[in-house]
Amino acid sequence: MNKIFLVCLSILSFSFISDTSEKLVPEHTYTLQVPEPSDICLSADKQNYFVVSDNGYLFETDLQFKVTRKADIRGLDYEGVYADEKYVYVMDESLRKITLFDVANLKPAKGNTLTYLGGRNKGFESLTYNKDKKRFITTIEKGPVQIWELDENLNKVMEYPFPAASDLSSACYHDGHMYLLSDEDRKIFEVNPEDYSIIKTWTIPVLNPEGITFSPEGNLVISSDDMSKAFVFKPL
Amino acid sequence: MIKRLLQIIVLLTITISANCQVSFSNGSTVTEIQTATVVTYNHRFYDSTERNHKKNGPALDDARIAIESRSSKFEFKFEFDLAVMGNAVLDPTAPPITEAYFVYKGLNFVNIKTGFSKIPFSRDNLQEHFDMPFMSRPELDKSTIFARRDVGVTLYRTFWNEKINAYAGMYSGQGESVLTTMNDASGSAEFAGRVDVSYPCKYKYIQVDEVHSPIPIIQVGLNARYINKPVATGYGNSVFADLNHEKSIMGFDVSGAYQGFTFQVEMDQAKIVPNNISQLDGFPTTYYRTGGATIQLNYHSKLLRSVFAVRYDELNPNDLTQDDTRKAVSFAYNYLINSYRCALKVQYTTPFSHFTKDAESALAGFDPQLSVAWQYWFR
Repeated sequence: MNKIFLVCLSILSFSFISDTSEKLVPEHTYTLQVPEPSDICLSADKQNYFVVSDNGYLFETDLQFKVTRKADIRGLDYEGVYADEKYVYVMDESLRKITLFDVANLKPAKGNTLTYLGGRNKGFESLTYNKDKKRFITTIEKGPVQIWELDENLNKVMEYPFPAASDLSSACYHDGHMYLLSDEDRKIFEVNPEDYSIIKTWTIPVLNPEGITFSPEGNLVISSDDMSKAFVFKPL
Repeated sequence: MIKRLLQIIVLLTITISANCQVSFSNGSTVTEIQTATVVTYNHRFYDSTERNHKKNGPALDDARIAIESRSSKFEFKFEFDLAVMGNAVLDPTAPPITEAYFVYKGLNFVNIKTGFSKIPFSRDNLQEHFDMPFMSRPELDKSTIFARRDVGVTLYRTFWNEKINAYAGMYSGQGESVLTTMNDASGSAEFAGRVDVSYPCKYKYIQVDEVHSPIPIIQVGLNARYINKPVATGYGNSVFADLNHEKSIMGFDVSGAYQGFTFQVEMDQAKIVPNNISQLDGFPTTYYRTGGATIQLNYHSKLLRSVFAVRYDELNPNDLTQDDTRKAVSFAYNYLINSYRCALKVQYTTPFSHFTKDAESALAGFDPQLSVAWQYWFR
């Protein structure tokens, strides 16, 4: 009986061995009135956030995360969002489709469908723009985890493996730094924008983190799908 | 020997990394092909005098293939299990088709699901068995007191950021045998409904917390179903379930997750008015009760890629019969090579009441048994 107890204790002890990445603590939490928020980005004019949902909806919120607009058209499984001065770029994971919504009226203007035959729910999870390389970036969630570079016409030009994470759920380029978010590992990776090698890692105490962006003041913002909340941290 | 073992491990690793699931998109609809294979070895601990050991040995438990299509307005799924087609005689209560349904999502207030699929009753029933720690479900949820699937219509929707799930449906009442048997003379239907609430966030129907939730999550579910069939022709696959006239069942479940630990508790109780009055054991009553409970604790270790689980379950087939409650304790260990997409499962189940070592026992799950399974699940 004692041996069984010791074995169980050893197993639990091993299981609680923690990693050495820096742990972040949120300073503020906001409830998102968005069902299943799966990614978030700051608008180009830094006056709004755009949030997409697993149910295929695109929302605009103010800086306190209150919904201000919603696109009329519905997709299937929106998982990535990025905005510039003219368009809101939305990635549909299941349909492998990027739709460009006009920022002015949130109506779809054009789009492109990528080819990827992997699992329906293990496809494109993010969308951002790498200004260093002038390429759009999307990530394959898992099986295997990959970073894809897309050209200005949203066609694939390169792929990079990223085996350091169990999965990737979001990506964000901010002030010359590239950040990747892992949902299952609950980790943020800062990577080199040129070759995506890891520079630094942080751990966040957020369940099901699926979106990463930065506030106009430079605070880290993480959206949680299961919690339907936005967590605001100090600048990295 | 060690070299050979290493070769096998390397081959397995290559196979595991293949990620065989495939999907196709035309820009508005995506279609996915999923597969699952489970190979098991069962060993029962028979008395030394028992010469019939036919239930010991390897078996193909699942050989499933599914085709699933989705768009913003609809879902379609067709899944069949080729493993049961190897049987000399097809069991009408375990048909080769396991899912064949269509969902319309075009209405904003409710989704409509129609076809052959799981009845929204019992949290355990609603979960895929591939990502459960145990290979076999508790006796309570093995179609002993209720059918798990049927043809019918289910209306469902979520509330409060998916923290509340609500289901209501009408079904043939024939259970799994609806695919091979005509309805009974009454032509009556079965009605079922379920509501579950989770807090502080939505909680999927899972048993293992692979992501190690940083906050405690709890879910409480209530479900009920009612059927009145004067001449039942095949309801559930239990030896005592197909003789009933009127049956109403209530069920309750509570489950939770925190930091890799999870638990599930479920209780179901049926009130049955039988056609066969011998089931009343001569008591001055028109009905009897049947039901049971299951309690399960699980722990997932990320470092060890392992799941440890223990489960207690009991089932009382007839409350008018003395001392016939079946009780069992089961232990499970899972090694997750690639999550539950590729896993090795070990389960040991031992009864501590109603002990039978009869090789022909209809309630075979109540023989002490050691099972080992290897599963591939591409979805």
